[in-house]
Order: sequence, then structure tokens, then C-alpha cells
Amino acid sequence: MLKKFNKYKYAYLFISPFYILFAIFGIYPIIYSLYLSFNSFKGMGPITFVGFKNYINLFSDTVFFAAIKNTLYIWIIYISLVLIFAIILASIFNLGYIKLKGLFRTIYFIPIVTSTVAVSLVFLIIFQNERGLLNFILSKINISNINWLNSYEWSKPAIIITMLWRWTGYNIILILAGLQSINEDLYEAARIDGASTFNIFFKITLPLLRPMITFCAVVGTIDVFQQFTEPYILTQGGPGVATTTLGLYLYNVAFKYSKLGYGSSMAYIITFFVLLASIVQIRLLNRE
Amino acid sequence: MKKSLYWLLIVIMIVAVITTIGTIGIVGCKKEAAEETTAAETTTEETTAAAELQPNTELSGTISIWTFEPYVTAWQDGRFNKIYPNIKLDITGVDYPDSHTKFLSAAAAGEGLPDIMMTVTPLIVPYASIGALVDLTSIVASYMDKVPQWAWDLDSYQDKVYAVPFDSGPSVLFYRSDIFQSAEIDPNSIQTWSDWFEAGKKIYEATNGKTKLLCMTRSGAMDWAGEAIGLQIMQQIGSGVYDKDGKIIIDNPENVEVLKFLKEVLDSGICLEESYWTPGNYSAMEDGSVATVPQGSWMGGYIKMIAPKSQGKWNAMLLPAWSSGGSRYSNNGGSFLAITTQSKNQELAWKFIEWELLTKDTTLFDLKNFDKWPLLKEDWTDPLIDEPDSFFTNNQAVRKLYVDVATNVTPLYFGPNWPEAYVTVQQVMTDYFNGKMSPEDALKTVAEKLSTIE
Repeated sequence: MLKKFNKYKYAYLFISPFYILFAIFGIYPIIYSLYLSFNSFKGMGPITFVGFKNYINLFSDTVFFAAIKNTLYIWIIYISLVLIFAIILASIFNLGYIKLKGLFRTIYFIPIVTSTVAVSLVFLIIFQNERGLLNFILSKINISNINWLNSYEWSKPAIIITMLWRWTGYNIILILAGLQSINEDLYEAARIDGASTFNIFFKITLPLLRPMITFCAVVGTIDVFQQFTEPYILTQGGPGVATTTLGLYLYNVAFKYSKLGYGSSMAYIITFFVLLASIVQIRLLNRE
Repeated sequence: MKKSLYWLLIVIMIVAVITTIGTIGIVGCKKEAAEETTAAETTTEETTAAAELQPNTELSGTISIWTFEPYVTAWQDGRFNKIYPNIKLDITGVDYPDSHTKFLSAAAAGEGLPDIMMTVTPLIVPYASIGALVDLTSIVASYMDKVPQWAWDLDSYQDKVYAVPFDSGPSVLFYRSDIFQSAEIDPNSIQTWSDWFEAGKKIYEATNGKTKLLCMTRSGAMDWAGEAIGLQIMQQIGSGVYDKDGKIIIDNPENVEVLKFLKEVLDSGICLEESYWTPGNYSAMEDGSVATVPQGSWMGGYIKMIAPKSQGKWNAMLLPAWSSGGSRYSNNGGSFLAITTQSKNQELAWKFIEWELLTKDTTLFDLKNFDKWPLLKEDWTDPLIDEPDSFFTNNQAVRKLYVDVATNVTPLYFGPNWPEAYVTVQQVMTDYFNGKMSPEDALKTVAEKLSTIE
């Protein structure tokens, strides 16, 4: 063991800066928040031990349960839509005869490099109720005013639309990379055997895209469970608690109500959910 | 050659690691030092008005300030430095509510707070209770009579004063005089909130639905950070969310009637459902889509900023009363300046606060230029109060109205957990205004939820 260490000591030395920084800014906060989750702490002043009280309170917190429900709602709809859009659009980009591919790819990717705050502010203007751009366009095709941001039914779709706009391009690029890694020979062989385009897509493209789709789904899941900016700017979690996501509620509890202990326990529960959701997805999508 | 290159790389790396560790060590030490200065006594000699006319060159240093108001230009244009040429101001604009989260993380880190912190009224007690603000009781003693007692009450925690009032928001009813005139409504006929509602219906009919009564949303009507119409009415009838001692009074039966009234207004279709601080709201103020704005005096300043083209079309009057002959006074909004316990320049910081908030010359300057409503009582009798304001129809001297309200108002009390309390109130009330529960149930639910906040 020691001999082995000696052999690689310079290598260890060279990779150590990352681990030192990770220990300070990664592991230490993780452990400290575990400690805080069993205490009551207001940001300054005394830290008092409360045992499992934070976790127990969490299970009688109606807002927390509403946040779970909202997050699941957004998660299921957003993940399905973003994957469907990304796969369709990426397949189109992958067609041989599409011109200006680079330009399209750049345009679709641009939303991801813009700041979420700026995007949300623009969507805030688009989603205005009686004077919003979207409602104006809808009124031209005889759809009456939709109160996007202040109604229980439409506030979640408004947030999903904003997220879709932002993240579809990113997923297109990933799926496209997946598509291009599929061996052309397989398509050729299928075509020679007389397979229809439909069959080729479902029997060759999709199965071979699985690892990439899994990756997109897992990354998307983590994003949704931490989702904060869109509801924070568009609706502040309202109306009522209709768009309070787990990320937003966590932020409110820890940084607005300054209950850092309670917030830490919530963070641990959310981490548990993300883990669970990711495992389920990896299992579902990667089963043979 | 190869070996020496090896060693060079290792040396560079070791230096890098040591620097990293060193930085962390320094941060740690600073944190300890910052904690030690907690509650350090600030001593200041009495400053007389005469002394302030002479530039004070003895005091020197830099004070950092976080502010969420645009008034900073007044400080930056050098007026403060004419009196204290050697005190440098380091001003950071921090949006409210970002200032709150920024404050909490800096307080928790033990470093990074400014010398002077601007905050809204309900946050003084939470901040003071965690030991983040300096006790100013002995320093402000000589100013106790110069500022209304209720303002001192709001910034006190356990009978100690922790902040100095920056501004307040005596509520009035801003209305479009041009629209009132064309709809043939006499503002003097609006005595109660139901008169106001009737006037709204009349305006709506007279303009064929083009002009609505006000901007009010189902999520903002009882939101302290939103339109807060409900809270202003409750204040008029001596009710609210908490009483002066922090007891929950929101389930007060009188509040049921207020909620019923507001829902009726919302359901009547004469409200423009655009939230405050959104573009839809701004343009409505300018193009005459809404006829009234019941709000604190600061809204007068905002209307000038967001709806400059509506100049000369606005007037202000006392808020309607809840019942005929009842109080027409209310207050919505208010900020404070406080010195943080992390400050190393508490004496200089106090000089700034004294100059900015407790000097007649400065407060009048801010009132004139930025519509910052002063709480220095001697300002309220200054000739500036009677000066006409050209933004309003017939150059109405609106400040006289504000003085009337500010003198007679009783404040809204916030209790010790306002950041969580007001969000709770807002959430449940949104459910109520959307028809998900009865007003009685809504108030009962809020009261129960508030009682579990710890």
C-alpha cells in the first residue's frame, strides 16, 4: 500500500489541489449542513441542538408537501416535453439535406448562454395578463386572456414554457451528439432490408440513443429539483403556493426566514428525492 | 534538467497550496475579530448644528453602505463630503429583497456586512435579535422628541433602539383627476371605501371598460410586499396581523368584513389584475387604464418615475374611511438605517446617519428631490411642505396631505417573524381570493399557521 503510494506520490501531489478545494468548499459544507439539520440556527447567535425536530416538522409542513407536488408536476411534464422536442429537432438537424446546420444549432443553443434572470424578466413581460405579448397573440386567434402568472391552472405551464425555451437547445446538442455516434452502417443495412423510416427510428435510433436520453433526463431531473430562478422571478411561488418549487421553498426557509437548521434538513430530504428519481430513471431507461 | 523541472513544478504547487491555506486562515481570523467587536460601545460627542457648518476634517475613513433606494445620488453628489471631506462613502446598491438574503449570509459568515445597512421596518427586530445591529439607545437619546414615538417603537427590540427611521409611507389615495372629471365624480364625495367602489363602477361604465378602478391582484391584495390594500384598511380600523405586543390579531372578526369587501371588488371585474413592479402595471399608470392608487406617499415619487407622461393628471386625497366618520389614516412602507456590529467605523457611520436622517437640511433636500418622506418632525412645519408640486393637477401641495396622515397615523405592527409571517398571510389570502375557502376559515388558518412560527 505504502509502496504503491510512494510510486505515485507526485501524481497524488499534482491532483491534490482539486481535492483540497473540494474538501473545503464541497465536503465541509455537506457535513456542516448535516450537523445544522439537527440544530436550530438563525444565521447568527446560538446554535441549539433540537434532535430530529426539524425532520419531524418537515412532515407536518403543508407548504413543503405542496412544493413536492409542484416539483413532481413540473418534473414529469417538463422532462417528457423537453426530451420529445429535443429528439424530434435533433433528428431533423441530423438529416443530410438540411442546409445551414451550424447556424441553426447556434441559434437553438443561444438560450442556454443567456442569463436565467434576463430570460425570466423577458418572459415576465411576455406573460403579462391584460397587456402581455402572448395574450395579445392569442387574442388574434380568438383565445381569451389567460392569466398566466396569477392563476392556479396556468402558472405552472408558464414556468414549464420558460424552462423549455431555455433548455431544449442544450438537450438538442446532446441528443445530436448521440445521433451522430450511431454507426451509419446500421441504417444502411436496415434500408437494404426494407425497413421503413418509422421502424428505423424506433428500432435503431431510439435504442441506441438510450444512454444519451438517460443522461439528459438525469441532468434535467437535478435541474428541476433545484429549480429556483424561474418561479422566483415570474411568480414568487404564487399564486398561493401553486408554483413554490422545492428549490424556491428551500431558499425561502433558509435565506428569507433565516431558519438554517430547518433548511438544511430540507436540503437533505431533497437530495434523497433526487437520488431516488435518478435511480428510477437510470433503471427504467437502461433496462435491457 | 528533467529533474529540476520536476522540482520547479512541485515548488509552484506547494506555494499555491500554502497560499490557499493561508487565505482560509486569514478569513478565519477575521471572522473571530469581527465577532469580538460585537456590541462594541460607540461613543460620540454631541454635535451641534453650528459645528456642522464647518467642514470636519478630523474624522477620516471609509464607510460602506448598502441601500436599495435611488436616493444615493444625493450622497454621492458630494453634499456629505462638504461637511466631512475625509470620510469616503462606499455605496453599494442592493435590491430589496436581495439585501435581506445578502445580509443573512454575511451575518452568518461573520464578515462582509457594511457599516451601514438599510432595511425595511419589519426586519429590524429579526436582525437585532440575532445580535447583528448596534444598540443606538444612548446615542439617539437627544433625538427622541424629534421623531414620532411610533417610529422609535418600530425600530426597538427589548426597549433598546437599533435603527433610525429613513422614511415612511403615509398612505393616500392617488387618483386621475382627468378621468374623475370626465366620469363626473367629485373626489369629495368619496368618504368611505364603498363610495370608492361605487365610483369605480361609474368610471368603468363611463369609459366603456377602458379605465378600471385600480391595479389589484388576488395574490397582492393582502400582500405586504404587493398592493397591500387589505393591510392598509385593517390598519385604519386598528386591526392588522399582530398587535403592538406581538399577539396574533388577524383572526379578529372585523377583518372578515375587510376580506369580504376586497373579494367583492376583485370579483366585480373592475380591477386590473397586474401585479406591482411589472411592466403591465407601469403602463397602466401612464395610459389611464387605472383611475386610483391607494398607496404610501412613496408611490407619488414612483408615479413620476414610471409614468412621466401622465404629468398634471394626478391628484391625491385622504384614503377613504372604512366606516363613515372613521379614520382615514394609514401607513404603508418605511425603511431604516442601522449600524452593523461588524462595523469597524461605528463612530463615522453614526455621523453619516445623523447627517442623512436627523439633519433638517438633508432631509428637506431628499424630500424635495426624491420624495423621501422625512420623519423629522421639524420638517413637517417647513415652508417646503406648502410648496406646490407641479406633477399634480393644479400644482396640488400634496405634502400637506402627507403631513396630515403622518401626524395622525397608527402604525402596522410586524411581530418578530415578519419575513415568514407575511408570506404565510399572502399565500392563504391568495387561496381565499381565488374562492378556495371562506373568509372565516382563511383567517383561522392564517392565525393557526402564524402561531406555529418559531
